[in-house]
Amino acid sequence: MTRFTDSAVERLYERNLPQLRRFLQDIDTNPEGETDGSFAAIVSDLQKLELLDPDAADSRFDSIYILRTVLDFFETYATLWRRVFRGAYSESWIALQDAFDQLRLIRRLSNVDIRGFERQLVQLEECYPYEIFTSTGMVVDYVECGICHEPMDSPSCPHRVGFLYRGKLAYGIARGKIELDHLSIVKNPADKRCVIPVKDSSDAFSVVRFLSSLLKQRTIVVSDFGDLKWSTRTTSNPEYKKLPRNVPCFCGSGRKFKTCCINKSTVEVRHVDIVPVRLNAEDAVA
Amino acid sequence: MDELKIEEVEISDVWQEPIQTGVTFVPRSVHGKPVLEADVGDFAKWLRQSNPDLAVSLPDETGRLDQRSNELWLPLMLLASDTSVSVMLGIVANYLYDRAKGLLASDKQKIHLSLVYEDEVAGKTKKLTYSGDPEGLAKVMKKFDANRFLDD
Repeated sequence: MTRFTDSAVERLYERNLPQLRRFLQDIDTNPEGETDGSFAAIVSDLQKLELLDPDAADSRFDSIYILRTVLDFFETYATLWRRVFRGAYSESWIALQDAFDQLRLIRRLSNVDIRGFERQLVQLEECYPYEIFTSTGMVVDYVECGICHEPMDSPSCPHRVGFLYRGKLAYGIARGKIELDHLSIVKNPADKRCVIPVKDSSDAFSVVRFLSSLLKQRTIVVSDFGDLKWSTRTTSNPEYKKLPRNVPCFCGSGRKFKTCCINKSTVEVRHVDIVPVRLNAEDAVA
Repeated sequence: MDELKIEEVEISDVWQEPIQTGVTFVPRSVHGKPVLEADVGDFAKWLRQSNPDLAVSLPDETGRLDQRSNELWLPLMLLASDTSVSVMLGIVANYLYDRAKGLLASDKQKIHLSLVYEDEVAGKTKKLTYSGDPEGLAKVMKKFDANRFLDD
């Protein structure tokens, strides 16, 4: 099965596989390195291909769009790990969500295998503290198609949001009067970038901070990160105070120590082990 | 958690105009303005492209309520007597499958839908409301029998 519906784009991708693999290996050796312009030569080849035959089939232009998205994903992937490495955790979350969006598009529109990246990034997402998100509900007069500019819901517009039409991605533009209807706190938002902000210095980032420290110490490299094992561990309670049985409890409940926290000398805490599962460049970019 | 509710309703409480063939999307009022859920546009377009024999009635002059949720919100669907509930549930399931093509393994799909079906022969109108995942919808479809629906 070919990855792209256009054979010229498929060949271009094949020819550049070694460069894409080297790009991943470079993230391992230098996760802090800048990567802008790494794919300039491939982008230039894509532009030439685009101009070569303006009457080519739709699949040519769609495949070019998808390969560009693949290259964008690689850049986003590098940005993500660079931010984790530098301790810019809030910003790394944004890059992570950008990467997920690009992976969804690649999956929907091509046969490029993204499973290795998906597995790794889903585990990385688990390292972050975000569990609830803000979400707005809006009433709009109508939605205009970004391609034909007709109302998107009218029979005259054949385009569906998120699909490609001769190399152009269809999207909707809210038009007319736009009214905010409600603001909600949700667990499953359309956009996970809408978080309740947490400072990079917060303890909430302890897991991703630990991962960052492992990368800085070279204990692991980016491609080693692949799995998390969550468990609970019993540890001594730092607030516990051994008191005479009949005096008020240290916790401030007002009850006697013997009927309150006498048995709470230990507490259960969540624990996570970062388990290396190699993301091999040969497998990730196949 | 999946939620399924089936209740008897009065058609006049749902729709005051003549019922078209196929499926009619029924707007609801938000701040006095008739609106349809934003997902209706893509669903109606997919319906027209994949089920061209099914008449789809999408009222004009209705706003769109964009919930910015990762869940699929469909408006109340009024089924004419030429469209069975089990067929419509099957169509919705196919649409969910189509939308799932770009999802990652960790993405959770959830749908909210309600169908109103009028059987003019039996003289009963019922409303089916479902909120849950596609697997739950598949279970509803398996259990579902249009006759039982009307006998409940």
